[in-house]
Amino acid sequence: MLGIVDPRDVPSFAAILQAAASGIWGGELLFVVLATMSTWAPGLLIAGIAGVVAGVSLAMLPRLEIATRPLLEFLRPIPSVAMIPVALPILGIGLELQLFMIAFASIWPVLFATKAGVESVDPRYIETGRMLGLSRLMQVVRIVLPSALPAVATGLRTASAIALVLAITVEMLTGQPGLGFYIENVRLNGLITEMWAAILVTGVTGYLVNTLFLSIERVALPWSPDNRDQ
Amino acid sequence: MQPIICVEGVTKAYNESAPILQDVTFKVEPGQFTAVVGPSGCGKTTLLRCIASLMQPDTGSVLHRGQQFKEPPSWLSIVFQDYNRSLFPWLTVRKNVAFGLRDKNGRAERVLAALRSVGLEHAADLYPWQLSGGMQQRCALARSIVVTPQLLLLDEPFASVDAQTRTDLQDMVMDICRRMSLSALLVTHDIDEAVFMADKVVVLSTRPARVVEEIEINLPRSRDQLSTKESPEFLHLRHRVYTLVRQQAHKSTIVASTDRT
Ligand SMILES: Nc1ncnc2c1ncn2[C@@H]1O[C@H](COP(=O)(O)OP(=O)(O)OP(=O)(O)O)[C@@H](O)[C@H]1O
Ligand SMILES: [Mg+2]
Repeated sequence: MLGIVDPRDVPSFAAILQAAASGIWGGELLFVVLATMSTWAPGLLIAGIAGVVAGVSLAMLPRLEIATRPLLEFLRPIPSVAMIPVALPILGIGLELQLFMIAFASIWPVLFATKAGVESVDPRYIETGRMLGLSRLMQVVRIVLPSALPAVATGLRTASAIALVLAITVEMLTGQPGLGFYIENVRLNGLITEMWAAILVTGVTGYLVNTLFLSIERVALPWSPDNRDQ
Repeated sequence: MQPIICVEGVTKAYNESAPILQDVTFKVEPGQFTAVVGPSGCGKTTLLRCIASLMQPDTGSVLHRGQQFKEPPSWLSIVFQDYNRSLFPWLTVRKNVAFGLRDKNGRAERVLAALRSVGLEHAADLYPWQLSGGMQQRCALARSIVVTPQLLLLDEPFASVDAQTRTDLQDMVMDICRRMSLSALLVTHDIDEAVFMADKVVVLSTRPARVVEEIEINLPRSRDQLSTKESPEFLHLRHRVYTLVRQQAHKSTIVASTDRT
């Protein structure tokens, strides 16, 4: 079993680090990461906006929720990659396809977290708003939405990781510039050290994205139960 | 002058269950401090929600100076039983208090004045969850008086704080009501508290809640935790209310034991 992996195929960690560092500072890798992030960000933005709007609407309009439930239950378990054969003829290979795939996969955690957040608003908050003479619209704007923000933030953070996975996968499959295509390319050319360096950079990128979202949450929502322990 | 609140024959049931309130009738006179006592779970919060127009009674009516009203009116404020669920955790103390003020004119001054009258001006920029229970309840109190209501509804506002804080809050509420010439309706299951604070105590029965008796508390105003509570008049009134409430509790145990057989 062990004999299958030729030790010469596994570069030393020092060599990988060295390749990653030189790739980021002055090499190609930095542009590759930026290319991936430049589809990741708008894809996640689309998923975020659509997910929040859909989540709030479904939570506030029970009839809409009942009417769309079969559709959502049908769409949700479909792995986004399985949508490529459907989306490809319509969108073609390019940015539209990438954004669609990223948004399709990462909308779900935003949508369901938002819906749950809105649904779990403490009815006492609403009563307090009614006592103070708030209209229905103002109850939503000033009470329901703020109280759902921590749930929305958690959903967005989960979505940000999924969006990164999808951005890279679609690059691998369609050959669009970015980490996914780069990893495929160096692998096919036998540049094993560069491949491992790119994989390492991918992992670090994912970690940094998560850390970024956590820090934004901590600054923007200091009152959220997760952030209260200062 | 017409009563601030006139509760007339109010009956209320949740869904199809047995009624919680049964033909409840009493008045809150202007400038008066009225206390409603009743055993735990008898429907006191339900009664306050009907009075505040947060829900409508099944039969009977609630009148303000002879008039009916449908939505929670601006002349009425409420301090809820569980303060930690009624303050908004995403707003600071200052913004929580300002929440219900519509016009920007003089808003900051009014908020500050309300915070001063509950002794919270130093905590204005903290969040509610950074405060003790007593401070949270004072914040809720500030929010309900900043809109200068005529009537303050208090739903067991001191139930979950320690004894010392509780007596401090009692004094504070009585002082605020006197200074702002506020009428108040306090719901509590603490008989001492009801007799000590009120001009009139309304005793409710166990479920379904009816008014068993109304007792005038003609102790002199400017009441003192020590001397008032030691006076023979206080002890006598306390005894009367206590006896009525205990009869109710006794009835409910009889009902419970016959239920079991
Ligand atoms: N939204 C509701 N739906 C159905 N039943 C309810 C609802 N709210 C209260 N009840 C029931 O009505 C009864 C009276 O409740 P309520 O809260 O008015 O009593 P309470 O006197 O305020 O009790 P406590 O002393 O615990 O504050 C309780 O038995 C409760 O289970
Ligand atoms: Mg209650």
